[in-house]
Amino acid sequence: MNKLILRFVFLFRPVFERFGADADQLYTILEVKLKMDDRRPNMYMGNRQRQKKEPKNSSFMAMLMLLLLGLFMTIILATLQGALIGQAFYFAMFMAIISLTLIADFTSVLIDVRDNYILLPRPINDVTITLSRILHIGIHIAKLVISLTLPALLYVVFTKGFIALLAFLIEIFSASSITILLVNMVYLLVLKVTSPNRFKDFISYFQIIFAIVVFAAYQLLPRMMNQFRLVHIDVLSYKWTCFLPPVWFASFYDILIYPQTFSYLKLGLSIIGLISPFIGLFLVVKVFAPGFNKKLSEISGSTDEKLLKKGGSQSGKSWISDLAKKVTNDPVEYAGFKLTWWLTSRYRDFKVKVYPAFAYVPVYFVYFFISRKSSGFDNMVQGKAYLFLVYLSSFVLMTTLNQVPISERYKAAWVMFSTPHNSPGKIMAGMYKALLIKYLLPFFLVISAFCIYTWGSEVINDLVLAFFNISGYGIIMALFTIKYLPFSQPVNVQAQGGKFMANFLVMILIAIIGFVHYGLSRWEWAINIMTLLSAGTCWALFHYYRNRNWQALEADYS
Amino acid sequence: MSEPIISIKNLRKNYGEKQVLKGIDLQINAGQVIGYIGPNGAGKSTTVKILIGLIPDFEGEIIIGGQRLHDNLLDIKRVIGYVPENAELYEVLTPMEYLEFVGKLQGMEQEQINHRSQAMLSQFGLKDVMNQRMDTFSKGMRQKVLLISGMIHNPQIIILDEPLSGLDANAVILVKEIISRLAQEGKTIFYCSHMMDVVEKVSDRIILINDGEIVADGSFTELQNNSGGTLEQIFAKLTGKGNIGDAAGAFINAFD
Repeated sequence: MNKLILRFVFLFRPVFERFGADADQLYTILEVKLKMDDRRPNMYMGNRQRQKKEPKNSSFMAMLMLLLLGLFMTIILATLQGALIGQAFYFAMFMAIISLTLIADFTSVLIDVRDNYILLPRPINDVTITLSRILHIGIHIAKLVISLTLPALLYVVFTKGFIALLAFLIEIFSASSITILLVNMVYLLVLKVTSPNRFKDFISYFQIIFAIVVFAAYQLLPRMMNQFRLVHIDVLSYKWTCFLPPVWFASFYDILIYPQTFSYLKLGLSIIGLISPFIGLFLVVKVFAPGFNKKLSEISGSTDEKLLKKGGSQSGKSWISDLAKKVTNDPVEYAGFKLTWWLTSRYRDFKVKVYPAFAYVPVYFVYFFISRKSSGFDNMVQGKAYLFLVYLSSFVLMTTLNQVPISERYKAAWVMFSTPHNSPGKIMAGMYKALLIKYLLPFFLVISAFCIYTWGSEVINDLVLAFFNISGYGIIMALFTIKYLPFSQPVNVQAQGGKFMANFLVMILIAIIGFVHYGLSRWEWAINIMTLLSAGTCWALFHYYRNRNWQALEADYS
Repeated sequence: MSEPIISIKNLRKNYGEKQVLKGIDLQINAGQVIGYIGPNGAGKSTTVKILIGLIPDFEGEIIIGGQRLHDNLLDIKRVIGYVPENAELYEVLTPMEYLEFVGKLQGMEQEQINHRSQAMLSQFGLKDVMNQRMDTFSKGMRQKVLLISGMIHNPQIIILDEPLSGLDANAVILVKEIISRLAQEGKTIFYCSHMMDVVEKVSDRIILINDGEIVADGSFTELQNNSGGTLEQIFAKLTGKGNIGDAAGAFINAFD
């Protein structure tokens, strides 16, 4: 596919040469950059691809994923009656997906600092380097846009005709231009308020947001459209929508394809929609690009001057030490607690994989709520629906426990193996406490507050039992499926397999616990007895977990 | 006397208010192996980055091969080979793919690239893995590929920044021998390192930079005559860290 793309791009070879570029060098650079794109794990492949050692066609797979997303968006476009709402919704999703993808993938496409050492010392002129970057980004964006819009383009041309296709193409161009401008502005803003070294953290957060948005949209949009009658909504009756670019593009399409719906407001918005990409491109080229390039070059700096001047970032927050002292009763456990607390905050790969899980719980609950809305909110409040929400929070613990042993820098764990102690269980106990306090507890408290507010104080008994149940379940999970020290395993450890049955049984265990709880919940005395039993079991399990020695772990490291 | 291949006059560079280079003057002849040494933050990397065109804004004049750096950067880049300190390469490529890429950018013919790549990779013991992606390579293996990529186009001037980093003993011996032979052929080697024993052995001229200024310049014998001791001792003395014994004592005392 890359050869085909390059063949097309180099139809403009005379133009490149007229600009002063060395076309042969340009071809060589682009060929290698596209090859590297194919071999680089991207955000659409996520964990699955990282497990393989040598991805070969990640670019193609990303396009396939976008094609599927595009298909999903086209279904929404077709479902919504009225061109304005349909187009506005479609381009809102289009802009969100393209901008989030660009922000997340630009680190590898645009900000490849290795270029400074590989390309710049070679005899390549500035025009060739600049043109190679522009063309590489252009090809990258074209791949995204074409994949994402292909289903809708086919839908539009077959159902609305050729004029609609042209209008739709203009919309795509406009939306892409505005998106690039917005991404540019976001980049500049972030670079202005953060140090270049923090920039990668920012990219990670966007990857997290992207995962949440896609998941939430996929789960909730179709149902919300039915529930809230989005199908029949009049977009322009809400004045604030006039400030939204997707509404400008939708207005243009609407008055062009359905002239009978003409209004001066739509005409005005259409004109803004048509002019804005050119203003956007002008701003990008003349105003933002120069400062942008300068800022990007700063990212290549290997040290953070601000941090160095301050004498390094303040890492030893005393309250963490105080907390660790309070909740652990052994130096090794203390070390395990603090190491887990620090590294879970600082390893980007951990955050990117774990943080989206926190959003899955509320999304699933909203999904659950929307599903039941037909039977009435009051009915739900009278029932035991909160148990579903509360037990859903175990997902947070499951995800953190699954990810905590894995790290790209797993070799740094040698220090835990080389130090003279015979109690890896204590490190793991510290790890477990850190995850429980840092991730499950705050999440559980927020959910509990919501439950008490909605269902009343009588649910407190259930909440206490659920907390012990989930904590105990987490230890069982750690005992049977997570037998590694924190951040001590390579990324592809999950691909080893062989524990499918154990994982499966542990996963259904929480459902069984939840159902038992639900069954007993009508008798308060039963809940109280269960709470005592659950707390005792938790203590016993944790005691067993904490006393694991190297022999218990050796099998897993062999 | 022949014209120097590298001529640096009054080279200055500031980062904000901080003056990193405070007027470097250097004349380097073809065939010399220059050991360019100095403590961290002395200005070594800045000098190297200026020489290879990574830092375009500096004060002073640099003439390489008779051409001003500011005016003929591309021509100058053609005669320079650079091996950076950190193993910066596109590790998702194989060694052959990477060397082909670099060779093409240097304007080499495909046949020549293939021939040299295979021959050089073989000498470094990488023949069996030359078609495997480098993301699984050890640091030493990557360093070998990096070394080849800096020399594959047979440059007149070779700038090496810690070239022996991560290499095994046999590869170190090989690289030292290559440096010596290249110098005999008239190539100029600009060798930056913190490994004083290696610098002492491979360099026929040592330049010691401290706080942006040259504090010593001459052969090892000349430096020895002026300051006495090993290169490490000369280094410590001239960079203001002469009391290493006291520092070590204080370190040991921390156990008390």
